[in-house]
Amino acid sequence: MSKHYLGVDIGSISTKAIVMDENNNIILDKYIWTQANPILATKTIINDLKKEAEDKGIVDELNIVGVGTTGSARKLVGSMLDSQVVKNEITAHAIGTLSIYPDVRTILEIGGQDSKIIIIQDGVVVDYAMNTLCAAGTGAFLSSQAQRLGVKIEDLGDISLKSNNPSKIAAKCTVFAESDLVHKAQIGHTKEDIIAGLCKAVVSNYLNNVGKGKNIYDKVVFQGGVSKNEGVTRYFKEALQKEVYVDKNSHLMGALGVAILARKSDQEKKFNFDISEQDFITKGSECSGCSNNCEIIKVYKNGNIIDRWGNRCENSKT
Amino acid sequence: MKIGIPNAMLSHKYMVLWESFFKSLDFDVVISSKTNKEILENGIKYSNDESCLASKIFLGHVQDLHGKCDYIFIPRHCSFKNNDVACVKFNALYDICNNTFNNLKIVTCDFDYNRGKKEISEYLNIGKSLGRSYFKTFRAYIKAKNEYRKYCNNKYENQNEILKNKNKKDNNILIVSHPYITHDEILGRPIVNYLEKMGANIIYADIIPEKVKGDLWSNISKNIYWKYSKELLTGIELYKEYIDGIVFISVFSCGPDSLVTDLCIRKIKNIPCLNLVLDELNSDTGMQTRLESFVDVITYKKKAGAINE
Repeated sequence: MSKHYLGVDIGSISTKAIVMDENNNIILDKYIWTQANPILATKTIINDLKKEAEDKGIVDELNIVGVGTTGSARKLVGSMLDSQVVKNEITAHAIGTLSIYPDVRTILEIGGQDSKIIIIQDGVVVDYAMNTLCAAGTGAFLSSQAQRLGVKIEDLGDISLKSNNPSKIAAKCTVFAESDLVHKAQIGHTKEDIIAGLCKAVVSNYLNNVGKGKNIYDKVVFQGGVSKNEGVTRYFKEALQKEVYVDKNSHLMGALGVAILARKSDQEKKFNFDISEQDFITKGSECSGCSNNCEIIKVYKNGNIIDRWGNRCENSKT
Repeated sequence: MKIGIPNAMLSHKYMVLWESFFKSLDFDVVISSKTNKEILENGIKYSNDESCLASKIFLGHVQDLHGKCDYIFIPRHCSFKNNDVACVKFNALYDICNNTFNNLKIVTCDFDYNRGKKEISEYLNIGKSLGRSYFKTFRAYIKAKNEYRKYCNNKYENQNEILKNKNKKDNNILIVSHPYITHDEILGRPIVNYLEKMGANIIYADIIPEKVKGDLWSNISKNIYWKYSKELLTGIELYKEYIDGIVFISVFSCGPDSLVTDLCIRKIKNIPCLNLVLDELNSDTGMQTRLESFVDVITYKKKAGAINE
């Protein structure tokens, strides 16, 4: 029986999961919104994967022996799924991308709250940069602006391609961008131009902040949720004067990377799809052991505590 | 009589000197507790919004000492030999505290070389203002100064000794940040602990000998302005051949660091650098992602290097 590996990438906006075989081929994949509920999103996505396998008639052949999690909720979901590997997004993305583009030198990544640039040399990550804690110019910024304009976020890219004259919008800060946007609309800019302006602003913001001082060499791969937006891709190509590759699975790279890491970990453990029937809750509490008042998170599975974290010292009483 | 020393800002650097000085003058020394959430919150409450996080924490420490001692020692640091200056925050601390807290008795002095105020005469003034004789104060100063010098050199030698015996496979990470950030229980400590948990060896750029020959810092840039930034750059130069990565830590909204860190990252070419800026609303998750991936980068880079060799 062949072996399979599950990779789950739980981001702030979307949750991605894949199942791959021993040769890193993705056989099942799923992409859903996290909706600020990583536990529910994980249950849903595991269930969806199972359904997809049933539809394809391969559910009996599935033999998942390794699980990896990445993304901002990696720790929580990692203990939910009892995964072998819990890895940060940078490494997961780099490994996932390298498995598809072995000659990649630069990875541009814009996700829901993070944006990062990863520089690769001879197949090894040598440098990276991430946005500061502010989420300006990321997916969260685009989705709030789409809402303001009454447009679905999925349509932003297509609409922006219709424009040849993007409005100038400052994407440095979401608050400023909003007032800029209102102003542009009020003086008569069309919606297409404004949306194109937004996409362009994301690119210039990215290159000025995250990409600052980095040498961008070919081959350039653009990924993360925002890479699905063709407008942003177009302005990246214009600004960099380079071909920018967007894989059809660009949103799955993190999940793929962490599944590969799970395979390489050589720790095998049979994974069961019944996770969606289990009851998971988390409880946050403030420790009263000392005046640091650490926020302690406890994860319960069917009422039994399975994991806890958050305390800075051994003093925690709760 | 009790003299209180806030355990923040430059105390992280000069504590040995100050404690010894006051003890030799027959005072009891009270040191405020290590920074905790309560001190941080008090500091934020008493501070101006625009202050940097480190100086906010300082006010929290002053509040912590308030009422527990007769005098609180808050010196002013302005300028030093060779045109060195300190950040204006250090000039202002005495006045800020004096204006913020009611009934606060402060012992102060003015380290302002450019205005003709020598370090030794400032210490002598402290002794005088507390009613100690000239000779007693003078002896206390010399003794404290010697202890401080010994302490600095010992720390440096220890770190050097450890470095020389390090295994090449280990990840040696240099922490470049002011001592009041690196060694603060809330600011730098969690970062250092997290890196150590991931198996890194921590080397501190703020540990340098008391006197360093030549202006090592000028190898990075000739136009550094602040004394304490120069010392950190000296640290980078001293340790650069032993390290695999540099983590810069600064606090929002530190002016000098925002310039110097950026400059360093541009100038330092062959060593991976990570820049962390701390503020009041830190989430550990964002920090951990950055630290984890940084250690990954160093580890993978080393592995690849080993294969190529």
